[in-house]
Amino acid sequence: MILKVEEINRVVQATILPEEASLTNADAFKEEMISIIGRGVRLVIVSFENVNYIDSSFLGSLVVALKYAMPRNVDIYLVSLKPDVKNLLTLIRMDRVFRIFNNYDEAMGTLS
Amino acid sequence: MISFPDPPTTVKKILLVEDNLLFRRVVESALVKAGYTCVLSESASEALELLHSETPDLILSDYDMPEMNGFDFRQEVLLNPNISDIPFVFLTSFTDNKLVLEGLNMSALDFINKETPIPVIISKLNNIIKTLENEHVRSVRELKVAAEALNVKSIPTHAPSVSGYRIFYWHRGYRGYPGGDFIDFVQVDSRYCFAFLGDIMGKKWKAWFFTFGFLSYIRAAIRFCVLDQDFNLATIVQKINKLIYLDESLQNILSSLSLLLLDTHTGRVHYTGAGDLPLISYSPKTGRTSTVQSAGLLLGLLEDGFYDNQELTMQHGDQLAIFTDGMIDIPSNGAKKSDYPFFVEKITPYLGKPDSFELIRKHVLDLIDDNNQMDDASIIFIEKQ
Repeated sequence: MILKVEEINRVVQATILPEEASLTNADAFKEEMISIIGRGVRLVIVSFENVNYIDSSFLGSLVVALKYAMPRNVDIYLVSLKPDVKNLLTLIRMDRVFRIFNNYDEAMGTLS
Repeated sequence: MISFPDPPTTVKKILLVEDNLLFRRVVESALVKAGYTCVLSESASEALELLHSETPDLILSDYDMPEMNGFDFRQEVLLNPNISDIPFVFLTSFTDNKLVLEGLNMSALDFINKETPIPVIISKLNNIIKTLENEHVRSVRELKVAAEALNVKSIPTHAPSVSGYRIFYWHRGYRGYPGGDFIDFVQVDSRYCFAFLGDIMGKKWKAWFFTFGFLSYIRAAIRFCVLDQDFNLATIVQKINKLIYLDESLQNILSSLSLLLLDTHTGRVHYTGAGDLPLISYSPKTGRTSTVQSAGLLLGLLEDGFYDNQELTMQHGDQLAIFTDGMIDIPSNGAKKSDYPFFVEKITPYLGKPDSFELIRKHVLDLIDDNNQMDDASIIFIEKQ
């Protein structure tokens, strides 16, 4: 398992467990995300609190999950990104397609 | 003192599954001394859990363990396609012939007796790993030869000569594999030349295979736009993006792209990017290094990728670089990190020199090797004469 998952009211908090989000776990992450999205949730909040490094394979999986989520009206938020990871995501404009929050609480605060 | 034989060239990670603490410590210390990284598990179930996040180069497992024995562990590993290919060796005090045969029949590479002197165990492991490495190198070479015979190249053989500019490029595949990076130049006429690079998200063969689909689209889109006399980069990249977005076979594949158009008449360089890293530019007049970020999203992500046009007026001696994200990945205290500002800092001292790119190659690029490279890395460097 790459994700530790908690679900309340069709909102899923999914915490990425490995510190290195890379080629070795990108496929497993994609499959876990797709199975979460496929079971009819409305929002998946992905926490990067453990992640120190993300490579392009894992970024690819994240984006594939988003492409799978969009036509199903499922949102994906990203939270708790460490500065290096956040900088990389911002540099390549991923902040334009994912909503990014400081932590779970902040992301949950947008739901009313 | 017993000397250990030479370890393989790159640091290899061995997963040791052994319930006996003392033996675990003894073997671990010998492996570390012999130049390996060691990951330890005291039970098969712990090892299976660990294999979700770790990919060792070899698994060394005891046979006799409580709960799940070595054979059951081996079966579990074989059932999981993500880890079934990892070389597997038994290390056990059970040396009954029938048992050894049963172990080897489960595609284990060796069945080593625990009574064997430690240096001999290490030698055996070294041999196994070296043999696998050689085999691997041979396979990669054969595939490369086959790809070359088919004339599919994701990296050009030489830079074009464009009047008024000096163009350099450099590429290194992740651990010597052809990977997901591509570089190309399209020389339209004596006035215009396109230069671009990109990174298919992924590594090794899978990404490499898709580079040709992407490259064909990019080349075709550029050619079609040129035929229409349309040199607007945002339009060109939006066309490429749409083609890729609508192509079902590329549905789950995304790529970054940095696209430059060099105009030899005006001396201007036009730039647009798709989810790429910001361009670095240097002007000797101000002595300053600056970065230019474009707005566009990764190719194939959304139907409209918000591509923009940036224009750089290049004066004599001005330099610029575009590069893929493998360039900014660096090992740091045993972990990995991506650090764009660090890369800018690293190349800045060599900018504005008569042979800047040679200096960058010598002091930055040539230092990238199998031990510190974490992804395909590519760069195009352009200087106005």
